[in-house]
Amino acid sequence: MRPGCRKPLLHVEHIEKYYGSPQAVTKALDQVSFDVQAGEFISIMGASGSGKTTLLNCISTIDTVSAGHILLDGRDITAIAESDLSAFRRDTLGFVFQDFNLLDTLTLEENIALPLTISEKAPGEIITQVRRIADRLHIGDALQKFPSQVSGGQKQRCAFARAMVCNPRLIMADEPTGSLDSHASRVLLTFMEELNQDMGATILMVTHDAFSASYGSRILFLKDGRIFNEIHRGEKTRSTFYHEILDVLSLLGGDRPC
Amino acid sequence: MLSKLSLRNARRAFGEYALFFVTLSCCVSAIYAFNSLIFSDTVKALPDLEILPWLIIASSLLVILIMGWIIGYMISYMLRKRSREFSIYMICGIQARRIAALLLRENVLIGILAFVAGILPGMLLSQILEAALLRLFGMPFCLHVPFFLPALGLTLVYFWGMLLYGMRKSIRWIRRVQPCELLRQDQSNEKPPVSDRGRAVTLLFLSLLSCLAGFGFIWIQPLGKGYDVLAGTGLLVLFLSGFFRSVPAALTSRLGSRAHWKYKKHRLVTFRDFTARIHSMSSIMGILSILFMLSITLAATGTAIGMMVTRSTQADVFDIMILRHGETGDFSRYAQMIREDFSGQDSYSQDLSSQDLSSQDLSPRDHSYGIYASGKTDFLTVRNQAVVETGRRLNRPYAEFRQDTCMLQSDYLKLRKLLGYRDLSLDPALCYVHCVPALERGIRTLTRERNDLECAGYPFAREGVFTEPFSQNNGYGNGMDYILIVPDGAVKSLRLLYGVYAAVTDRPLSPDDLGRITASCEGLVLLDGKRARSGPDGAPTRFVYEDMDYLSGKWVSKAELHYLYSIIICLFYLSLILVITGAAILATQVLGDWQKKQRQNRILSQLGMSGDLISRLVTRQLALLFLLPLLPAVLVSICFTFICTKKILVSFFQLPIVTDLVWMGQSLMTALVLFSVLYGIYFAAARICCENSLKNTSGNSILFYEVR
Repeated sequence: MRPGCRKPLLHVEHIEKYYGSPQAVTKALDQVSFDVQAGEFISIMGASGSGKTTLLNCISTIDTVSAGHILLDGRDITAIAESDLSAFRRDTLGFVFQDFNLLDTLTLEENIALPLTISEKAPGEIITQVRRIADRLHIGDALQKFPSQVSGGQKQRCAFARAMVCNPRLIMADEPTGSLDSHASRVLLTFMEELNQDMGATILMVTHDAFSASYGSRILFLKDGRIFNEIHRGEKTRSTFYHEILDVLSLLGGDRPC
Repeated sequence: MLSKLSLRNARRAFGEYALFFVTLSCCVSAIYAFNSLIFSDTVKALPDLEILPWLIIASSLLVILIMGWIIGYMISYMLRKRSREFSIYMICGIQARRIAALLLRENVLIGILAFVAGILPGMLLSQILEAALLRLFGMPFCLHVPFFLPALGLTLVYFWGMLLYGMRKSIRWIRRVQPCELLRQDQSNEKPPVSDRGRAVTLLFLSLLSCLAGFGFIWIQPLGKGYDVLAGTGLLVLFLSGFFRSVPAALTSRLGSRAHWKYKKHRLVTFRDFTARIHSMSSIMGILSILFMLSITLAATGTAIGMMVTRSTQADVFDIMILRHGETGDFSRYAQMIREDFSGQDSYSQDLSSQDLSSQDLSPRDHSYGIYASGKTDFLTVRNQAVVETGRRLNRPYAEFRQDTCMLQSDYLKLRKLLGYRDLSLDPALCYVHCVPALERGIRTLTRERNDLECAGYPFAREGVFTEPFSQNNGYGNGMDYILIVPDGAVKSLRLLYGVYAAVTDRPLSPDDLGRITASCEGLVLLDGKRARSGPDGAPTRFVYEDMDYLSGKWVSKAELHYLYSIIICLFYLSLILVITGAAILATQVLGDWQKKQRQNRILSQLGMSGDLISRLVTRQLALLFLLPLLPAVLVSICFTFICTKKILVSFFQLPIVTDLVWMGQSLMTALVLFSVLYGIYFAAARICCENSLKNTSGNSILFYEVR
């Protein structure tokens, strides 16, 4: 799905992020700006320490920016009060993490249902929605199992189902395939692609794996906290796009920002 | 290398060891404090406490077993938390026995520090205990440094005994365990102790049945001779054990599948948090419930004994009573000494004459008079009926109390004045009754219903019953639970039982004072409640010697109960240790999982749960954890407290000096307040720790910590 000229879902404007003490400041993000249209599947790539997770954390309100603005649906999320952040995250965002972040004490069904119980949805509605998303992700048979009883791929699909179940405006995935084998990774990425294409889910995925990134429609390359390059898949096959990504990655060793 | 590692581990994990450390220190303090009582010269000088050292030693051995178990539990719990670390040691090639040695070193290190840290509070606690004990004896307390080397040595032996006893299981486990087992620890949820719902419900039904049967045995006591109490105790312990094995399992299987229940009101996380540890929690809750039940019962029993001593002392209103069998005689030499030594007032005493008792007006602070037998038993029958109606066994009466006892109106009025009671104007042609409150109703009924009732030809006033404390509870004072107040003119028709010299002193009399009185007055001995001899007609009498005077009164009666203080001390000792044990287990449960909890709260926060709601869930989980074992424990301890207090009451008072239920209620309430204070401290500490942990989780600042 190509970005159009319409108003972007996410507008990141000159954000900066500094860590450390005044004596030793680390600039994690440096004047980062980009837009994400609704229904886009964007991958963010970069080497370790390039600032990709910091960028994701800033967008997801888990972290704060030192300068700049982030607008989601026209609302400046850098200005949201601390007390409103929980409700904002609950209603607007969905998260998928490398280590799944499932609660070990809950069954897969209960893990998926958790955001809905937090939103105080009726139990009947919770059950219907959980079943629907679980069937779509082919984990319907494992719903009564605990995370320790299922495979990594099932865990990550459960995490993805949990992120999707509230129909968030934006899904953010931080290295979602990092703990999975190649088969489980491929299955998960296919699901993500299908969800993006069929349901119009907007996905922002951080990864350092070129193959995973090739599932996105657009890729942002970060280097030393700045956007180094940006490529679009367009009508290219995923194989071609994959090779294009590798070419860009080979350039990441240089020091020319875009 | 391993020494350095164990030192570094102990230092690094001090936060996690803090609870362990505090529990060990508390134990050291309690053990040292109670052991120092054995070696304190002040305590040694107290009379009738010969049994105290043996009781403390026996209690300490029990404490070693209990604390050894809790230490074992805590070490094992911490081991499982560190299973990954130990697996890495194993993978790196360190032998299991060397890891066990490392663990031993760490715990010994913590033990040494806890021992040193516990001694100073232990010295403080020993001073508090000593002060409380001396207060019970009515003796002054002087603050001193209670450092006793033998007490320290004994504490050291007990402490290391329980520490090594506690560690043995964990050391054995670490030597046998495989690295893969360590890696898998804590990853999966526990299975319920009873997996089948039908079985759980059956077990629950049986445990409730056991509870009812237990209560039935204890209340009704169908077997007698203590067998029913034993059977009841066994059944109630079975109930507690069965209840905690079946209820969580039944609830889990029933509620786990009920989406309409678990998805409402944010119950899901709390519910699953509980079921995840259902097996260990079921066992622990059962054990905790038994510990708390014992703790409350022991404290309530201790309180009841203490109250019994206090009530008994309060019912004895005369500080000194000197009795002379069969005659009144001359009490002036006693009066002179009492006045000089204890009154501090310049009172006057007339020379006493055995012929004219009514004129033996010694002073406003003392008085001597006679106790007579009327030759009738109308009131004795009422008294005996009341004893039987209150569920007590009727003892064989002393020879002096096989008939109604009497005193003259003039003596009665003087004694009332001496005690500061309100003035009465008694009709010199009528008889009155002074009795303990428990007899009031029966005696009023008798005087109202029997028009022919008389004593030495004098009828009884219809409403003439008085019930102020009047030294009537133990006998050999002013009658056994009652005395008839007869006109002075009746004296010729009455038989003199014994003469009494009664005095009220300005200050309490210590055992030393009592010893001094008997030592300085030839022919005066203590009225010994445990000794009696048979009289000419076979009835027992406490006037063992023919030509002696007997010293009695409030402080002599109290001194007879001094041996009970040893029991009170040990009961509170055990109660204290049991609360510490139980609360430490709970706190271990709460705080041992803080990393897991932090992760859980972080995820909930990421999913959009507000900080307030997370905080409410934490409070709910804590309340569940702290209240669940307490409720059945309180229920069962009510039953046991009733039994213990009733037994105590019945053994010491033929007639209740307060209503049995009030007595039981007061003891239970006192025990619950003491228990709640200690338990509340642990709850507050756990809540604060959770709150701090929560702040670290919900704030964005800590989320950075997790950011890669």
